[in-house]
Amino acid sequence: MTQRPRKLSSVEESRHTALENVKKTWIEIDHLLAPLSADVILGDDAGARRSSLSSHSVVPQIVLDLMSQHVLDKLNRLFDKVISSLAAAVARIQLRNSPSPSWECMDADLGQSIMSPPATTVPSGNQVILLEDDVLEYVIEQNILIRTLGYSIHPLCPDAAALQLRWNLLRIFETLVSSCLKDPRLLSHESILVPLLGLFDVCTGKRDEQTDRKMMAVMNELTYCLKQAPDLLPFFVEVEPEVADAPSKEIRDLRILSYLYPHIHNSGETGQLARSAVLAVLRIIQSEDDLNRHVAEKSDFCGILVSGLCAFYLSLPHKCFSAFSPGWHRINPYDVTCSLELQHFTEYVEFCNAVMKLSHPVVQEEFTKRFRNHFLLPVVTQALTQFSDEEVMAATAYFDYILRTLEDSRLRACIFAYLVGTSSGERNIMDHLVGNILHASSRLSTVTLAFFQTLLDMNYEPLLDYLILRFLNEARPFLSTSNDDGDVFDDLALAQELLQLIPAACQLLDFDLDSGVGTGEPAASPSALKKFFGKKSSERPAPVESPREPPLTLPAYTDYLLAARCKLKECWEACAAATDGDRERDSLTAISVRKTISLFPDLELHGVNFVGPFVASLLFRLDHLLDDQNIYLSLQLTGLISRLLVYPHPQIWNFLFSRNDNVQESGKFLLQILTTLKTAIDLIIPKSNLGKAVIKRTYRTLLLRTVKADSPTFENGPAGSQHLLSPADKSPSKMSGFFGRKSPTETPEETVVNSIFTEASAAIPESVEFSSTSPRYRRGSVITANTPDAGRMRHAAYAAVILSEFSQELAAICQERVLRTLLPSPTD
Amino acid sequence: MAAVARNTAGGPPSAGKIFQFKLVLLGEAAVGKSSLVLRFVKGHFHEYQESTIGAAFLTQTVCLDETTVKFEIWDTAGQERYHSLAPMYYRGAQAAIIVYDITNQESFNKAKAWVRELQRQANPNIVIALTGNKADLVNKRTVEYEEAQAYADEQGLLFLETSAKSGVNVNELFLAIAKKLPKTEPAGTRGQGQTVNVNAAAEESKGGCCGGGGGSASAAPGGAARN
Repeated sequence: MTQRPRKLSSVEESRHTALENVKKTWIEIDHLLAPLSADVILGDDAGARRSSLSSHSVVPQIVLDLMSQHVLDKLNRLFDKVISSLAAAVARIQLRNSPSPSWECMDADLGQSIMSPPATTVPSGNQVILLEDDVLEYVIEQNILIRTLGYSIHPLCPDAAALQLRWNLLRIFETLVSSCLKDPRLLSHESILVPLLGLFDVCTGKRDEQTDRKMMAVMNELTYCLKQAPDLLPFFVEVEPEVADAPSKEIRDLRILSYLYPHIHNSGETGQLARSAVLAVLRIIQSEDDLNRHVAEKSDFCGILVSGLCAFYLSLPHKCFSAFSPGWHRINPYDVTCSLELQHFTEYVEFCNAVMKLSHPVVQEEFTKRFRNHFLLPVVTQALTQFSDEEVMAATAYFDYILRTLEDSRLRACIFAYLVGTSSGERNIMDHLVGNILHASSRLSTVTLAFFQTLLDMNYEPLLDYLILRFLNEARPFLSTSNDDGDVFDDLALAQELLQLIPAACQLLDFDLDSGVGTGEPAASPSALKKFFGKKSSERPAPVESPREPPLTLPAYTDYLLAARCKLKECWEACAAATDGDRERDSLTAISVRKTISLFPDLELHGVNFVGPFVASLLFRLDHLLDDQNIYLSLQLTGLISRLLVYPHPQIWNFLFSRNDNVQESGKFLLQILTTLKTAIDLIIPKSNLGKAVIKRTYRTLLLRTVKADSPTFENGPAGSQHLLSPADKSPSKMSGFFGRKSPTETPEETVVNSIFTEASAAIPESVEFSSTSPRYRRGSVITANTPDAGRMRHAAYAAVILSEFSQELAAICQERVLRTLLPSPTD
Repeated sequence: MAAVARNTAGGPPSAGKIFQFKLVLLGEAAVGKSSLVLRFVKGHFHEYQESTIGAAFLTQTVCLDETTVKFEIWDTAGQERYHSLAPMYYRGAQAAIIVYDITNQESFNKAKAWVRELQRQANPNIVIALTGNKADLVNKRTVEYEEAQAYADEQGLLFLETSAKSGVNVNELFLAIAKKLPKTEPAGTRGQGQTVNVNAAAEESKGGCCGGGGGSASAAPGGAARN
């Protein structure tokens, strides 16, 4: 398909024609606009000294012309031609000078539009024009750009026409700037640079949606150019006029950056373009100390960035609508896809991440400072301390989201310092959030627990110190701080003890939930435990594929072991990586223990507060698991407690399992609470076929609510893979079909179970709201096996499942901790 | 990338219409999206192209028969963490290139997920091109040409295997898209004779505090219907 090059003479001829056409077009444009004024003079910066306006008693013809749509259309068409020719010329230049790709054969289907190697024609008889630099040179020599800009700012030029001229100039520059890559010095040529900066100035003064966007597009091209030719940067930096005896020039303005300021907050494409250009500029100036100092100390840059964050944050809805679906506890990807505001906000937070990553240390520091003073302190505080529960819930969820989306360690440290920064006598934000753990609204509590999960997942020791360690250190200084003091066999015995906390009815279950209710005898405790200890995955029965329902299997204990191993590894390595220097710098424990405790008088009533309000609140909730709570809250709660126990610090572990015999206080420790819970559950749900059926149905219900991993609405449970029961309620319809099904071979047990689960609202029980005014410990009435209260039994069944999973989680963590302390570098 | 401006004998240069299209690149991290763009727009290739942060933006114009086509190219970051931001970039896009790496089967699966997402959420007339990049790594291929071609045919997508490194098929890719894009002014967007509301233009929207979705402002002020 390639043809032989034409003879030289006709190539010259067509080049000449191209040039002539451009000349002709420009002359037409110039002729049209020239009557504006013959003597407009431009100064050597973008300011124009205009010729004095003569007083016209009549409107000049040119003004009338430029207000006519017909004329404007014509002008546009002329500019179109210029731009097309330029585009063709630029493409040509790029082609000639790019490294040669390997040329494929021309594909006939793509027809005539394929590019060809230089000096080759395109077939099928049409004449070909090869454009070269002549066109560009003409544009430059004739000062086309400066002249056009001059016309556009002439006082007589009507607004619409001026706007259009600016528009067309931007289009020209968009094409031109990309050509400057060939010879970046072109950009510094006066007849390109002067009108370019002048145009930017004018467009910044006279804003318009379309020119704004186009200008930002040109800026992106420009930054790309500067990346290739950084020695052009000084042309875009304004310096103070030279003063006698001054050793060096002061920077007045980094124009390549300041032109972007008005657009950084824009929520449309203009904003995206502007932010993309900002990042490019930060990269370019990374090693320029003077410039960065100017940006940090003198310019508005950081202030504008942070006020953008405020603006996007404040545009978020005050209530998260998906929060009304049961089990919702934090912002997930599905929420983001449903909300435009969240997408914008996310993009902006990612932009802040990128800024921190790419900018010079002085800029990072200034940005961090403003992040705290102008975003966290005024905006976030106000949001978290509102009166409306729903709004606080939203604010907490957004705060959690920010914490998870921000990558920069300095910004995170800044957030932690903010959380515990306090004004005297009042609760700080951290205390305030801790207080929400026991809030009457279970939804708010659940979201708060999820927030603390996020905090703990950061593996940030000063935080742990603030929430727990300082209380333990002060109140129980004799607690062992070394992991090596324990007896391995004591630890393993503890693991076994934990497994014995599994409610009796749960111990009857096989892995396979699809097997019939009536089959199999209830196993005695030891053999049931054998089932959980060390059973390999390969020994699990294969799930029975049912045509209607997905196969359901319980996680094997080995799954918990594996999950625990991974979590311990990640957490212990992160904690070990923190240096002493970090610890000193990040110390948050200036606040007295006594003072914090005094801020939670209700908890003090219980005498458990010596462990600090955070842990005390969690234990309190756990103590009431059977009575008061929402199942989703319970799941978050147990997840949070087990996360605490993943930390390497032995004081935490030792305290919660009160291994130390010198226990003076009669607080309720973890083992005691769980034992009491198990006892109560066992009273309600018997260890019988009925009990087994109830538990089985409960598991099915909960497992059906988990969403498959590859669906777009997948939600990871707070503790990752461990929490297979994390409900992500995206398809409640799944469940309604499940309930009320009556099989022809329904056993008596199944009848009872069905009646329990189809009572009134078939959904998972929402909580009896935690309604007490004083948080006194309440015992529910004892249910005997003979008078099952269906609702009570259902509630107990969910508690049983939670306890069963929790016990296994804890036992697994216990075992893996032992392994980890025994083996210096366990193979994972 | 060569633009050969065609011309009917003796007439003025084919500065006919200029059409502007927004084109977005999607695909898993490290498949070569940025490299493809760079090769097309700047003719460069860097072996160790840095990871895109946010989105990068470049334009390129190609000359096509009687028309000039300008691409506004939005090159997105491929990491999964940025997935939820993708709609902001493909919203209002007339064309999309979904890139996978022929040596990475997982990236091909991801590409198919992108196709499904665009078919559900993007502009219904969007022109989609599927691209198997890194075609130069012949010995490490794990995704067969035929398999991808069959999939593309089934879904009505353009399909090419490319190499940003060697340049193979890079220009062809963009030109094929340019050719497939409709070159008529769709009603109501970039129609001829749009006038700028002078009052609106005179009002300055200072500060630009966000609020409200951003539209894609691709129409020209005044009577400029194109580009």
